[in-house]
Amino acid sequence: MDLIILQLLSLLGTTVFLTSVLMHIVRRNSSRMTLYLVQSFAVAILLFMGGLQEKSLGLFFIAALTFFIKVVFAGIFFSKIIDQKQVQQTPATYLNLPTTLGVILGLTMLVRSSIFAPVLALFPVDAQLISLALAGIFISLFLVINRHGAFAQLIGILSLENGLVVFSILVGLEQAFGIEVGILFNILVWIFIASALVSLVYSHFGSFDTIKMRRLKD
Amino acid sequence: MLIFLLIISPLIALFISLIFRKSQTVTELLSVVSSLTQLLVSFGIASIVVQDGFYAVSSFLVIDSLGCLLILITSVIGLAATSYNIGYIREEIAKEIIDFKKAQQSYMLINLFLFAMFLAIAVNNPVATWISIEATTLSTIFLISFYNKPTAIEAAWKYLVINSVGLLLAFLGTIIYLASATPLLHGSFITWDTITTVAGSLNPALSKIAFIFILIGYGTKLGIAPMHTWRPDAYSKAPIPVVALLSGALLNIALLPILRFKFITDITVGSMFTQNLFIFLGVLSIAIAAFAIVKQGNYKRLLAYSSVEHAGLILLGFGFGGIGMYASLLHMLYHALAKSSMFLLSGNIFLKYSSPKIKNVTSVLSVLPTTGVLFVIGFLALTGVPPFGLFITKFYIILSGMQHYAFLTIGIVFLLAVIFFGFFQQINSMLFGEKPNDIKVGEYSMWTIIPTVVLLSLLVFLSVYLPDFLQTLLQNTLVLFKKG
Repeated sequence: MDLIILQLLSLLGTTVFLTSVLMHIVRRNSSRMTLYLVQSFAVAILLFMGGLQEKSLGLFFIAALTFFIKVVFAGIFFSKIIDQKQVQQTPATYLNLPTTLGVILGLTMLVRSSIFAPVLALFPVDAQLISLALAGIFISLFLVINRHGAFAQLIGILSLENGLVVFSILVGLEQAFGIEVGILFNILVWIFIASALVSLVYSHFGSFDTIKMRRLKD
Repeated sequence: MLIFLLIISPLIALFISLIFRKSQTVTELLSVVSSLTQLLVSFGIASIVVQDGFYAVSSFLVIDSLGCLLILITSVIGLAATSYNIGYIREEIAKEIIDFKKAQQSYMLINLFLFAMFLAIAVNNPVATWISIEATTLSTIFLISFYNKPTAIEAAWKYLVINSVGLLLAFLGTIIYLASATPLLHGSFITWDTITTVAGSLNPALSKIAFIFILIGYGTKLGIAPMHTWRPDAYSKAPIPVVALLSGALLNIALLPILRFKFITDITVGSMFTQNLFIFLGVLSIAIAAFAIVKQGNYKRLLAYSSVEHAGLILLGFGFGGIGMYASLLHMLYHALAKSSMFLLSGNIFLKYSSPKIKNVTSVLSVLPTTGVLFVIGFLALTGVPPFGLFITKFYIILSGMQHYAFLTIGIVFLLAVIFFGFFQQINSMLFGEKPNDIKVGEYSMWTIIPTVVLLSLLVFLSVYLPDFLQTLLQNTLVLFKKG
């Protein structure tokens, strides 16, 4: 039983990592959104597994809320934006694909370097998974920096947040129930506000391309 | 009870204004009454904190001396900004820049912003502090995009993306900290105090990594270089009363978790580590602000870069340690008063000239005589001319720097001189010159003057005399830091 749980845990951790890598490679906004929904689903299952392990009703509730907010609500919201604006192709990146993959490789290696050794040493048994979560965080951060597209940046930030949730689960951090709900409420409001703002960006600039936002200069 | 009243009063004002959303008078009255309540409650809380050292209703809501100082600053700036907002909004409605429905949004969102700020100060859990500070970002997004112009949307998008990323990095640092502290806490509720009690047993290497993320993350919100890029954009596009709150109140609140984690990290690894980081980022902020101020062509952005400079100075004082720490605490207070009044005055100039560009603004002293004189006073205060408090705090920060980092401090003095002359040159061209023919002479209303007079009078008063209760709060905060 423990082996199955461990394998499932590895599968989910790897899913979160791989989806954050694939978000760099795909060209369509809808594909990037799907990857985010898959990633969020993996996070919800991870939380559900935590609930099973701890026999905690609170964690089950948090898992269900995560699923509702990050998969259902975000899915509906983002689909509407993509459909309404009819923008499928995402604007280009600052770095080309081979260089982007090189940076991703570098970030993954950085996590395994001596710099982050104290973090991985927190839970030596889960060190591999913790390093995947940390790499996922930095790769998502890189997505926000490397992509011109406002929608891609939005997904990058949410993917970064997913990486943080996985990281906190793996290092065994549990917050009071009220605080967990507070974090999720923040995410919900963030998705709502960011989606509204992305739509405004499109309305004013006729595109999601942030390169066109060059009016504010010193 | 007081703490609940402080946090809930902006929300009550928000909900009542929703009910009476068609009455401008009710909305205006509510915002002022709510802010006045917050100010009175803040003084009530201050009297308890001065007497007992802290004010707590549970382990979750605790206000210590530092928190109390920030609550007082926030409520004073809050009252000034909401009062000013009445005159500013009336004028914008009269000029048909916005309609009353839009004005209502501004009142409501400012209340939400105040709620998030008070919550961020009062909560005693690092994750709850993070949630509240994230809430300050979310409540201000639509205030920055308020005028719904492409530039405002651009500023709001940059603000959202940069601050969200920054705060998520701060969250990563917080998680690393809590993960290392949790096993030592044996299941008890995590608060700033409980982490402090086990700080001596934390893993030093982990604490260093965590603090770097926290400093970068909350430093983004604080607007220090090189994470400052959102600040000039947001400050130049948001409604002026909101900018006064962002620069006067939120700047200090973003510093709060940094200082709390610094205190914990200092216990774990010694103070040199955090001090060096503070000095590096402080000098970088002052240097970048100096170059930006000299070549600046927009007076709102000029003031925004001045905030970058002052955030850098505050970090420097804490970095240098000793008397510099006391000076930095005082600097937070004086800067909040000076900068928020300067932004409010820049609002008067903007209303009159309808342009944020320095080249389009001439003869302010003859067109807006009261605003002009106050603007000069504010400029002298901000740049640290005696007898203003910011002269004393800058002097002590430099003095503490000279003890251990003489060459670096001489460089900083040079940068401060560059900022003074750059600032002076820009302000000078705005104050004098030929009066534009199409602009009518005279101030708009008392609502746009009185708040700035009060803020600057308070600054002058506190520069020459610090009441006992403020001295106690400052001393108690200092004692807390010196333990680190």
